[in-house]
Amino acid sequence: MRALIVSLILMGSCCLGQAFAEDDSVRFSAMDIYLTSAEPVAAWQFELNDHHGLMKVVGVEKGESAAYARVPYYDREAVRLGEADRIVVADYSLADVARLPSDRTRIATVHLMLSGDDDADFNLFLITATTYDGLATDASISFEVQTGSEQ
Amino acid sequence: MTRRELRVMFRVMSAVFVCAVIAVGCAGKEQAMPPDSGTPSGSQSDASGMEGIMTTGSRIESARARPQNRQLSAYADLALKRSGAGPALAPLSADEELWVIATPSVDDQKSRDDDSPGSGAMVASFPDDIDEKTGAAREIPLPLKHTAVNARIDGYISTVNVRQEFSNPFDQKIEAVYLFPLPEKAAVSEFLMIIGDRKIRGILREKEEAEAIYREARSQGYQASLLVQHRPNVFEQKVANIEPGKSIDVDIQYFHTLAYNDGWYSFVFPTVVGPRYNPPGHSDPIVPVARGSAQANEKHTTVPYLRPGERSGHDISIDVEIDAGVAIEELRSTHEIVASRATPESATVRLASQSTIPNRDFVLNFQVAGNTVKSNLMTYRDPELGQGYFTLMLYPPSDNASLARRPMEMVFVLDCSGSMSGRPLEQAKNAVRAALGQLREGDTFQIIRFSEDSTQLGATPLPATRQNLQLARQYLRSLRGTGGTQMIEGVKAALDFPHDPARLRFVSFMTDGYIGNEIDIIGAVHDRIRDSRIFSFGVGSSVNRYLLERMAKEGRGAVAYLGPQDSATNIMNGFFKRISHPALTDVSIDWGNMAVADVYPAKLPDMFVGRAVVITGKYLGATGNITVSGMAGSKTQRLNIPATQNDNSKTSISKIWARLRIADLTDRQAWEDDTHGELANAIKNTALEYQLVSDYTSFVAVDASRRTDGEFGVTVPQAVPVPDGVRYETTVEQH
Amino acid sequence: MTRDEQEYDDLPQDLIDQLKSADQPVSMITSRVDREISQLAEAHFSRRRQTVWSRHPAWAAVAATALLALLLVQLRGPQVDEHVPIYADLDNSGRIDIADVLYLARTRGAEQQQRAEIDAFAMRVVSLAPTGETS
Repeated sequence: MRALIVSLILMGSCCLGQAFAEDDSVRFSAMDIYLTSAEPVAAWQFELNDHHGLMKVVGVEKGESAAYARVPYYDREAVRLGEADRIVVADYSLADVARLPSDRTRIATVHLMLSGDDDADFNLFLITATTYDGLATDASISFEVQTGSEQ
Repeated sequence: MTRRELRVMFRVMSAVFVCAVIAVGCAGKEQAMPPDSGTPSGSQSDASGMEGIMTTGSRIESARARPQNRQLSAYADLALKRSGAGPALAPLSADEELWVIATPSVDDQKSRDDDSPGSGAMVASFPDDIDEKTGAAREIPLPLKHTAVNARIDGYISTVNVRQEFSNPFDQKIEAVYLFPLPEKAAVSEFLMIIGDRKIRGILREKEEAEAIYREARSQGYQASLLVQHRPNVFEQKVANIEPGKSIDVDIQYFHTLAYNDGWYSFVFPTVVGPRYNPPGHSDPIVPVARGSAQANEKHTTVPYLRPGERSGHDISIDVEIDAGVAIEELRSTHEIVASRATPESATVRLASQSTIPNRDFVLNFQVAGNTVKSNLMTYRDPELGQGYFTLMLYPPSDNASLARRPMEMVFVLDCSGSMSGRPLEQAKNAVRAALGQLREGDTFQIIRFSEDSTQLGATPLPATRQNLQLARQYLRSLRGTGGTQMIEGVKAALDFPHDPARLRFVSFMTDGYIGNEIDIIGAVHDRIRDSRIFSFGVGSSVNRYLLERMAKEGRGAVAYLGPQDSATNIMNGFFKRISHPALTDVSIDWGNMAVADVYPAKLPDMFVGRAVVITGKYLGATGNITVSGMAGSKTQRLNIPATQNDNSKTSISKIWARLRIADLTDRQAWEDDTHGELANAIKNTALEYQLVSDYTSFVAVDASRRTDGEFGVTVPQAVPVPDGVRYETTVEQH
Repeated sequence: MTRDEQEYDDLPQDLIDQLKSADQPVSMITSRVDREISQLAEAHFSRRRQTVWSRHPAWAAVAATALLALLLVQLRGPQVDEHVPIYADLDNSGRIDIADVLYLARTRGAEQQQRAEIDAFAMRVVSLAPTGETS
C-alpha cells in the first residue's frame, strides 16, 4: 500500500518535472547589429531572418549613435503575427554629416525570445547604406549575440 | 519481486520524489511570492500547520525536515530564525521529524504596515520625511516617481505622449505594478521601455502571449515591461527587475478626439482610478484596497490606495501644444496653468506646478470663436492600400435654440453610495434643484436614489406642481451617501416603468461611475432604453468617463461633468436648456461620392445646440460634398458640408477609427451572445491590425541584453491617492 | 604648232578629234529665257525650305514649348506633390528603400504633419508584405 501511494506521488512529480523542463527551452537573446562604413551613413536598412523559424521579437532597440534619435522602423504587423522568421529594420537621420556615424557602429539591437531545443540559424544582410549625399556606400554588416548571462 | 528488491525500489523512488519536491519548491518560490505586504494572509496553514513548501515573505512558514536531508534542514533553520523562535533545536535523531510553525503576532502585523515592500527578506530603506512641526504628509517610498504628459492638439485630434518614470528606492530588486487611467477613447499605439539612454520599442501581441513572454523574462531575471488593458479607460503597467537605485521609464503614446460643447473644446487627462464598487459575484472586479493590504493578489485586479495623510512622492507634469486652426479666444483649466500664445490660433499650456499631485483629472478647455466653427470633414488615405478613413465633426445650426419645447418627463437618478458622500452628493443635489427650477407646467418628474438598493420619491412620475417640487426638495435634503453602488438597481428603476408617449423622457444619472461592472450597466441600458434618452452627469474630480460616455451613447443623449468647484446651477441650467431643445432629430447623412462603411456611431444621435457630434468611418472613392438631414421641430433641415482635400499626414485618423470600432464591438458584447467568440476575435483582429492595446492585446518589451542579479524580486504595487473629494473611509475602508 | 595643237599635244589623237567635234558654237540664251529659268529654280528651292512647322507656326510654337518643358522637368528631377500619396523610387536607385525616405524627409522638412507621412512611408519600406520591393 505504501508503495502504491509512493508510486502515485512519483508519477505526479514526474509530471511536474516535465513542466519544469518545458520552461527551460525558452531563452532570450539580444542581437546587436553593427554597421561598418568608411563614410558617414545617413540611412541604412537590413534584413534579419532565422532559417529555423524559432525567433520571436520581443523588443527593438535604437543604436548607439545620437544622430539616430528614435527606435528604428520595422514591420510590426509581421512581427506580431509571429511569422517574423524575418524582419526588415531601417532608419534614417537628418543630422549634419559631422554627426553621422562611421566606422563600426551599433545601429540597432533586436531582442529575441527563442524557443525549442534547436539553435537558431540567423542570416543578416544589408539592403542599403546611404551617405549624406544620398549615394549608396560600400558598408558591411555584422551581429553579436548577447544572452544576458554576462553581467 | 523479493522483499529486498521492493525495499531498494522504494528507497530509490523516495529519493526521486524528494528531489522532485525540492525542485518544484525552488520553482514554486516565484509563484508563491506573497502579496505586496507582509501582512499574513492567514491562509497558508491551519491548526495542524503542515506544509511541504516554504514561501518567502509570509510570516507563516512551515517546513517538514528529515534530518538526513541537509537542504530541508537548512530550510528549517532559516524558518526558525525568521520566526524568531529562538535558538535552533538540538540535532535530531534519524527517527525524528522536525516541524517548524510560526504564527503571526500582532506586532508582526503592525510592522508589516510599515514602508517595506512586502518581503520578509527585504530591508526597506526610505527617507524619513516626517515634519513633526507641520505634520506634513508622510512620504511612502513607491516606485513611480513622476508622470510627464506631452500633448499636441491639431484641430480636434490630440496626440499624447505619457512618460512614467519608475525607480527602485529599496535595496533589492522589485517589480513595479501601476494601475492608471487614460481617456476611454484613447487609441494606445506606441510603447517604449527606456533604460538609461537606451530605448527599446515594445511589441504588440495577443494578451496571453504577451503576459507569458513577460512572466518568462521576469523569472529569468531580464528587465521587461508589460502594458495591459483592464477597462477601456483603465490600464496596468508592470515593470520587472528594477535594480536597487536604478530607474526604468515607460513611454506610451495615444490618439483621441476632443469633445466640443458650446464653443469649448475639452482636453482631458485623467490621473487616478477611483475606488470601484464591485457587485458580489462580478467576474472581473477592480478592487480597491488599502496600501499594504493582504487583499492584493493575482486573482483579480486591485488598486491600492494611500491612507489619509500619506503621499507617495509621485507627481505629474503636463504640457500641451494647441494648433486649433481657428482663433482661440480663451483658455480655462481645472488646475493652475501657464499659457503662452505665439499666434491667435495656437497656444502652449503647462501646469504651473510641474510637480502636481495627481489626484484629480486635468481638464483644459479652450474656446474658439463661435462663428468660425463649422462642420468639417478630415480624411486620410492609406497610400499603399488606398483605404480611406474620415472623421466628421457635425455642429448643429445655432438658430435652432428657439425651437418649441415639448413637455418633458424628467427622471433624476442619484448615486447615493459611499463614494458620493460629501461634496459629490451635495453637487448632485444642487444640480437636481437647479433642474427642478427649469420644469414647467405640463412636465412631470421622478427622483430615484440608489446605493445597495433603490428607492424613489413617488410611485409614478409627479406633475411639476409647486407642492410636488417642494416635496422633491425635502426628499433631496434627506439623502445621504453610504453603502455600495448597485447601479443596476438604479437603471431598472429608471427605465422599467412605462413611458408617457406625450412627453420626452429624459433620464439623468448623477454619479461618479465608481463601479467595476460597467459592461453589465451598458447592457442593461441597451436592453431597456426604448424611447428614453439618457443624460449622464459625471459628479466628482476623477469620474469614470468610460461608463458615463457609454451610457449616453446607448441612450442617444449626452454627458456633462460637474467638478467639485463647478457651479452646479450654471452647468445644469445650460445643460437643461440644450437637452430640452433638440436641434436636429432623426439625423441621416447623404455621403455623396464617398462609399462609406463601418461608421461609428452606427446610430446617429440627436443633435443638441452647442454640442458637436463626431462621426468616424472608412471610405473608398473620392471625397465630395456631404449632406446632413434631420428634423428641426416639424421641419426638415439640411446642412451641406463641402468636400475636403485629403491630408496624408493624418495617420491618426485610421487609429481613431479602429479604436471606435473596438469600442462598438465591446459594447455589443454586453448584450449579444458571444459564446463562439466572434466579437472577441473581431476585437482582437482589429487591435492587432492597427497595433492598438485592447482587452485582447497587450504591449510587451524585454531587454534581453543582460540578466539582473538574484531572484526577480518582490512585486510592489504603486499606491495612489484617493481622488480629490472622495472619502477614504466610505470607499476603500468599506471593502 | 598651233595654239590648239599646243593645248592638245599631250592627248591621244582620237580624243583630240572628239573634243574638236564637240567644240560647237554656243546658242544664245535670251534674258527672257534666263529669267524664266531663274523663276522656276527659285520656286523649286523655296518649296523645299517651307517645312510642316513653317506652314503651321502655331503648332510649331506649341511643340517647341512642350519640348522645352519636358527638358526642364527632366533636368529638375522628380518633384513631390504634397497631396499625392508617396511610395516611389524618389532617388532613382531602382528600388524603393530607406534612401527614398531620406530623400523625402530632406525635401519635406521636419514639420510635424510632414513627419507623419514620412513615417508612414518608412513603415511601407520595411513592410514584409509581398511586394518584393524591399529585398
